[in-house]
Amino acid sequence: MRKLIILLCLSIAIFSITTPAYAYLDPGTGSALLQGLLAGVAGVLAVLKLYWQRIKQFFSWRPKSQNKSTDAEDQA
Amino acid sequence: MIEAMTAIQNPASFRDPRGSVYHLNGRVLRTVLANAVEDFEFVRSTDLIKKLIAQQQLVAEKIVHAELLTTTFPKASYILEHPRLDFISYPYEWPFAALKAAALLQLSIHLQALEQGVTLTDASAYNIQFQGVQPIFIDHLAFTRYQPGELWQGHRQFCAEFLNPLLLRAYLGVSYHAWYRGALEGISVADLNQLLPWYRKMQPKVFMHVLMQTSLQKTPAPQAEKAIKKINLPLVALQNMLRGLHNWIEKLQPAKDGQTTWANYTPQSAEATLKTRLLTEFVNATQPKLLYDLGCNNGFYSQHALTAGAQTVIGFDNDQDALDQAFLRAKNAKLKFLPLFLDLANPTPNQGWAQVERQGLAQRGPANALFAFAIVHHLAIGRNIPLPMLVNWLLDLAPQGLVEFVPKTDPMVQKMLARRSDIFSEYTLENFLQCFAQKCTIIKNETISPSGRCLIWYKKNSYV
Repeated sequence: MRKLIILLCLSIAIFSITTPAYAYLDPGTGSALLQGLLAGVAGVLAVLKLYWQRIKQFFSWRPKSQNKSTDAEDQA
Repeated sequence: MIEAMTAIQNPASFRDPRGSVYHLNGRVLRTVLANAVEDFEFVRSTDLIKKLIAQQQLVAEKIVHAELLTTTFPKASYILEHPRLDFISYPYEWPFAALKAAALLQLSIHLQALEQGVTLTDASAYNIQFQGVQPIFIDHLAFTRYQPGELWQGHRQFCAEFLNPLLLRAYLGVSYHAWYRGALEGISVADLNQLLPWYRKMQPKVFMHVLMQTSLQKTPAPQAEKAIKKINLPLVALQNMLRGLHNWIEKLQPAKDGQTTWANYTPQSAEATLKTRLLTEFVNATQPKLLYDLGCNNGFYSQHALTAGAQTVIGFDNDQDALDQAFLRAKNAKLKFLPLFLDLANPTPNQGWAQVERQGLAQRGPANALFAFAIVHHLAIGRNIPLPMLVNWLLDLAPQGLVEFVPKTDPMVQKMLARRSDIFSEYTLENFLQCFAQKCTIIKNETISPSGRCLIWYKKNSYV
């Protein structure tokens, strides 16, 4: 969740670039913030992947006996 | 006690406070200072360094213990010795294919390092050198312990020194050499962002590494600092970033701009046979360790020189496409030949910090020998360089050579003079030979074409 908030803040930051920066700005600032976004994207993708697997599982029909065996494997 | 020797610090090795490279009686030594010991020992507790050296992706290292050395470097915790490289070249001299190969090596080494819990402190293109056309990493102190969640410190530098110059040529068909040579630290994303057309920026990777990076760079400092402190980059995200760049760069090709003059040049058969014969004879007699090919074109003659026994050939040319072809030739035939971008009338100067950090062409020599085919008339007539100055320059680069003189009767020179007045009354074979006469012995002088082209083999009298 924290990553999502950072992602959101950064996205807002990109589109609100009007205030001039008076402090010293490290030349690597853009690179670091971009990596923040990528970290956020990686997080979101990981969450989506998880959900996708659940959705796939929900819709996949299997005979009862087989389902039981997979459950057993999952618990092991 | 053994007296300390005077080691000369490499003029490019001063930015890292954890150690430096020194030259001592022809040996190349690297100090590892106390503040680098922890990382140094951790990295060497993994297989990484051994593996990279075995794959010839990293210059070999040997820890040396001799008392003589420890008295010379009293502050060093470790002293490493490295083999000497044949020739030092810089990214602003590398043709497209070479810069691309270097970029891929940088990414590949970083990915291999991460697998062992190691990362790289920076992504400087100057940390890579070439053996033939094989890139090799040279900074043994760039490896440090990877801290989970840490950012890729070298990302901006990677973009400026590798990615952006490649994109400039691949997407805009613009050569990066002059710009890179002037800026030394590469091409900034902000500058590239100004140049790329909008549709290019819609490409996801360009959007991310160029447009987004430029936009984010403008974030006000206090906000940016706050946000950066909170960023935690998972290892997987870092690896994906490196792999993504690797896949992208692997596919980059120079834009076809049709600007080449010489890449499709195939030497005239009779003339080429004579040139090859004389070159073979010259190389057999001189056995050069380091041979320069001035105006190397696609490397046709460099390859012959290597077959004849030259150990390493460095070629110079200013035709991008010819250089790309030369690189491919060297790669396919596994030649110890490196073609480099150079305008012979404006060779690489001494530059960088204190004007010694990056050496000019003259400072990196002299070579043992050189050959210069079909180049003198381009300099003397195309660029108005007087013959005596031209000959002195050749003699500074190497003490012996095989050089072609193309007289005014030749169709090529006729063409060069067709639309300008002939102000070159001094441009004669007689005068050219006269220029060598004071300092050299002419070993051979053979006419190789009906138009009067000839090859002159000379040797400095002072050279034994």
